[in-house]
Amino acid sequence: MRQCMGQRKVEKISKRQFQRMVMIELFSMTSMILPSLVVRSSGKGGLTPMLYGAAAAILLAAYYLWLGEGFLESYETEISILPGKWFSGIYTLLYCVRFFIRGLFLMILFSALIQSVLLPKQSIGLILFPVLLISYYAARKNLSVRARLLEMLFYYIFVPLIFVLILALFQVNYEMLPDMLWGEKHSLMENLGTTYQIVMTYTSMEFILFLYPVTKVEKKKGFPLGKAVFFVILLNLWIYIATTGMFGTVRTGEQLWSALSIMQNVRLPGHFLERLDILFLAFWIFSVFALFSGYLFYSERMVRKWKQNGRQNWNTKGYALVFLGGIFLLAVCFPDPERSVGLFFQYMMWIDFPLAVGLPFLLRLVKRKEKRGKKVGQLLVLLFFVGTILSGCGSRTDIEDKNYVLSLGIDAGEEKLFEITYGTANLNQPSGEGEGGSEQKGEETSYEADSLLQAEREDARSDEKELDFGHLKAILISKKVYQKKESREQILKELEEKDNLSGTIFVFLTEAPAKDCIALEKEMSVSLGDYLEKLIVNHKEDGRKEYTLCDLLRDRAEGKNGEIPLLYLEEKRIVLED
Amino acid sequence: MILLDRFHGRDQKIKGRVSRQLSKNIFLVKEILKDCNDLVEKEFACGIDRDHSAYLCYIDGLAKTDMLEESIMRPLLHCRLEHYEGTAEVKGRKLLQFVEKEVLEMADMKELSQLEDVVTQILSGNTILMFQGAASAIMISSKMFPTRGVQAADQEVAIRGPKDSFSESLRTNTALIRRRIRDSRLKVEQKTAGERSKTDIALMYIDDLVRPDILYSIQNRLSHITMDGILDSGMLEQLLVEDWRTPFPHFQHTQRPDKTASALLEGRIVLVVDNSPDVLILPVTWNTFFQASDDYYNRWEAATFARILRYAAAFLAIGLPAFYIAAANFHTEILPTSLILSFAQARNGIPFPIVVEVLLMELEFELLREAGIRLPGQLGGTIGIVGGLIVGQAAVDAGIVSTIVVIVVSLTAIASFSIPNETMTTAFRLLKFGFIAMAALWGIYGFFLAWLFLAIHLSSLESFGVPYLMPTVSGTMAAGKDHKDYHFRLPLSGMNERPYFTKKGARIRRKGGKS
Repeated sequence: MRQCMGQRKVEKISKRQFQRMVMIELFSMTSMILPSLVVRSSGKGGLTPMLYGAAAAILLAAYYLWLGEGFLESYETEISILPGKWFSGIYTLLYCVRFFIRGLFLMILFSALIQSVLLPKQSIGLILFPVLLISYYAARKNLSVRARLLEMLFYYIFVPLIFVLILALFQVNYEMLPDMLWGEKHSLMENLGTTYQIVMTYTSMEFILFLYPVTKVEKKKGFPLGKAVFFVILLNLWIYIATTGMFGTVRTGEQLWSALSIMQNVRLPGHFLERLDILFLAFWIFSVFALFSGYLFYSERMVRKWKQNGRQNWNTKGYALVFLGGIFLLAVCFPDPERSVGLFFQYMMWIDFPLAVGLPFLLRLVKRKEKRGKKVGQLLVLLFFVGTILSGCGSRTDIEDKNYVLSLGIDAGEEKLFEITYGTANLNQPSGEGEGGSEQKGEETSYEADSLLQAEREDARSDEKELDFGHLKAILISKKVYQKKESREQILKELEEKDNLSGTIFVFLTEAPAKDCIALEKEMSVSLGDYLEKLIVNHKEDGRKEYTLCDLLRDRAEGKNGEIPLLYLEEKRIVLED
Repeated sequence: MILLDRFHGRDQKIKGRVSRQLSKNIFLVKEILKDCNDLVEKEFACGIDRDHSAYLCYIDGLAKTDMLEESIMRPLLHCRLEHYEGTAEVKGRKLLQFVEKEVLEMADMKELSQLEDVVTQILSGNTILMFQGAASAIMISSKMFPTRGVQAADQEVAIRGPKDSFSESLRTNTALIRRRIRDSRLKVEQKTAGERSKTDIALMYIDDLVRPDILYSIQNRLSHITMDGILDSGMLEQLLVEDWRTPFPHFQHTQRPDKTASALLEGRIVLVVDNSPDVLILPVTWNTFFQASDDYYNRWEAATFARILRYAAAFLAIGLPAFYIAAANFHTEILPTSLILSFAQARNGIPFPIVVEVLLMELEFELLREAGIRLPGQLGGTIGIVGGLIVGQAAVDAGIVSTIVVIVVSLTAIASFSIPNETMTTAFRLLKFGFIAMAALWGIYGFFLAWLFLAIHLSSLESFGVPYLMPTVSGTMAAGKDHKDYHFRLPLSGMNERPYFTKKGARIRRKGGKS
C-alpha cells in the first residue's frame, strides 16, 4: 500500500458516533410515517403490531449485526471486491437506485411539508434547492466528518422532540386511549401484515453495514447497536401513543405525517413562544437531512469504491450532481405526496425491503478474500443536471402589512351560507407601557360568504392588508350554524384543511350571534381572544375545561359530540355557561 | 548556481565564506552592505603590541555600544596576543580560541564561517569581529532593540489575574513565559522564517507533554515556508494554516503570558514571533476560543456562568438578526402576539423592508467599528457614542429604521464583544450576513439550514489532527474528560487531567486529591 503525504488515513468512528448515527438515521424514517401507517392498517388495535414490529426490528438489527461482523472491510469495499467487475457494478447500481428512490420519496414528503407549514408561498423547487446544496456539500466530506456531524446533531434532534412528547402527555385523552390502542382485535395474519409494514420503515438499519466494520469497538460489540435500536423503538412507541391519544385513530390515519402534528398542537408553558411547531419542525429538518444525506453519502462511497480509486474526483462529484439533480427534477415535477406515499409503500413492500435484506446476505455468501482487482480506469460519462428555480423568491409580507386575526366568528348568513367576522388587532393604537400588544382594543370586520375561503377573498378585495391567522386565539361558532349538519361539516372541513391554524385555538359555541360577541371587544380592556383565553385558563380550578380546535377535529373524526363551551351575552358582557 | 546579484544565490542567501584575508572580508562586507549608512565599522590594530589586525562592525541602533566598548574594544586593545606556530588554519584557530576564552568579556559568542550567517547576525543586532588570518568570524550578542517594554494587555483585559502582556521583542516574550514555567523540559527552539526579513521564531513546548505528531507537523511546516518577509504572527498564521477555506481560526493568538503558559502546560505548542506582540498557540478546538484567563482565577461558579453566557452570546452574535428576519417576515406566529403587534406598530411608516433595515443597521455598525479602530484613543470612544446613540436614534426618529432593529443590532454587537477571542468574533461577523441572507430567502427553514451548513463545516475542521469541535464530537477520544473545562468550568480540584492536546500517558495533571 502506498504511504505518502496526503494519503487518506483509515477512517474509524467511535462507538458513541456509531450509536448516534444509527439512532438518527433509523428514527428519521420511522418517526415520520409510523403512526399513520399503523393506524391505516390496523385502526384501533395498532399497539399489538407495534409491539410485534419492535420485536421484528430487534431481530432485523441482530441480522444486520451478524452480517456486519462477517465483513472485515467497509461494506462498500466488500462490494467492490466481488468477483467480476460487472457483478459488483450491478450490486452498486442496485443500491444507488434504491437509495435514489428512497431519497426522492423523502424529499417529496419533506418539501410538501415545508411548503404547507413554513413557506406556503414558495415553490417546491426553491424549497428543495438549499437542502440539496447542503447535502452536496456534506457528501464532499468523509465518514469522520459525517460521524461528528450526527454526533453533534443528536441532542438538537432528540431533546426538543422529547420535550414536545412530554408536553403532549398533558394533552392526550386518556379516557379514549385504551380504545385507540387495542379497541379492535385482529387476526394473527393481519397483525403480521402490519408488522411487516412497520419493519419496512426500519430499513435504514442497513446503514449499519456501512458503519459497523469501521467502528472502534472492543468489547460488547452488539451493545451500542442494541441501545440505539431500543431507544428508537421506545421513542416510536411513545409517538404512536401520543399521536393516537391526541388525535384519535381516524385523524391520525388521515394525516400523512401525524407525528409532526403533535408539535402543532402542544402549548409551550410560559408564553415565551407561541407556535412551538415552527421551531420544532426546524429541528426535524436536521433529522431528515441526516437520513437523506446518508443516502447520497453511502451510495457515492459505493460508486467511488467501485471505481477503486478511493479519491474524490470529477466522477464522484458527477454522481452526486446526477443524484441530486434527478431528485430535484422529479420532486418538482411530481410533488404529490399522497400519491407518492402509496406508490412508495408498494415499492418498499415488494422490492426495496426484500433487496435490503437479501443483498447483503447474498454478499456474505459469495464473499471471498481475493486479491483486489486492478484499478478500473474507465470513466463513466455522467449527466449533469442543473436544477432551475421555477419561480422567484416568493412574495413576503412585512409585519405591519398584515391584519392579525385574534378572534373568528362564524354565524349563519342572510344572503349567503355564513357571515364570517374577523376580530383583528388595531395597529393604529399607541403601543407600549401597558397599552400595547394584543391587550388592546381591536376592530371587527364581517363578510357574507359561502365558505371561509370565500370570506378571505372578499376581505382581500377591500383590505390592503393580508389576513394572518397565526395569532388566532378563539373561534366562535354560533349554535345555529353548528346545529345544522351541512354547515357544520363544511366549516369543520375547512378548519381542518387550514394548515396554518394552531390546534391550541379555543373553540366556543355562542347562543347570540358571534358577530355581536366580537363587537363587544370595543367595550373590553383586552382583545376578545385574550379575554376568552383567560376566561378558561384562569379558572381551571373551577372545573372549566379548555376545548381546542384539536379536540374539535378529533371528535369530528371519531364521530363524537364534544363538550364545546357555550357563551352567552348578558348585558353587554360575555358569559360562559356553567 | 545562477547569482541573482553579485552576492546572492537563487535561494536568496549570500554565497561564500569568511576569508583568512581580513581585507577581503572588509571589502565583502562593505559591498554587501553598500549604502547602508547605519553600518558602523572599525578596523583596528589590537593587542598591546598592536601587531594584530582586527575588524569590528555592527548596525547603529541595534547594538549596545557601551557594552562593545567595555567588553570588547578595551580588552582587545590591552591584551597580549601571541603569534602562533603552525599552518595558517591552525594559527587562525588558536587566535580565535584565545580571544574567545581569554580576552573577550562576553558570555554569548559564536563562531561563524559563512558570509550569509555573518551578514544576518550583523543585521540582527549582533556584533561581528574578524581577525587577519582567521577563517571564521566571532559573533557577539549585543542586541538592544528599541522596544516599548512590558505593558498591560489592551486586548484581552481580565479583571483578575496578571496584567502584563507580550511586546515586540522575542527574547522579552520568551522570558515572560520562562518566568512562569521553570521547568527544564520547556524547550525553546529557535527558527527563522522569511527570506529577506529572517524573522526569528521561537517554537516553545514542554517536551514530555507535547504530542510528537503535532510537533513534527509544525516543525515541518515552518521549514517549508517560502516568503520574503514575516512581519507579524498573523502572517505566519496564514502561511501555516492547513485549509484557508474557512473563516474560523486554526490558531489561537494571545498577548497574555499567563494564557500562553497555561496552554503550554496542556501540551500545546506556542510560536513566538519576533516583532509581534501576539503569540500563536496550537492546536485549537472550538471551546478554546471561549476560554478567558480569569476563568481560572475566579471561582468555578462565576467562571461557569461566564462561559455559558459566552456560548449563548455566540448564538446571538451569529443568529439574532437572521432569527428576527425569519420571525418577522415569514413566521410571525412564533412570537407572542403582544410582541409581534408591537413590532408591527413600530414599523408603521418605515419605507424599507425588514431585510434592508437590518442590513443598513448592520453596515452602519460595521462602519462605526472600523472607524473606531482607526481613530486615536480619545476620538475612538467618542465615535462610539456619536454613532451608537445619536445616529441610531436619529435614524429611528427620521423613520428610516424601527426601534426594534436598533435593539436587535445592538444586542448582536454586544454579544459579539463578549467572545474573548477577536478572530472568532470576526468569523461570527462574517457568518452573520450569510445567515441573514438565508433567513431572508427561506425564513426559519433557511435559518436552520444555515446552522446545519455551519455544523457540517465545523465538523470537517481539524487543527493538527484534533477535531475542531472536540469534546462535543469525538469526545470519547479523551475518555469524556474534556467536558470538565467546556461549557462548565468545574472546580480546579476536580480537573485532574489535561485535555486531549497532551501526549497520551501524560494526561494526569494532579496526583492525589479527589478525582
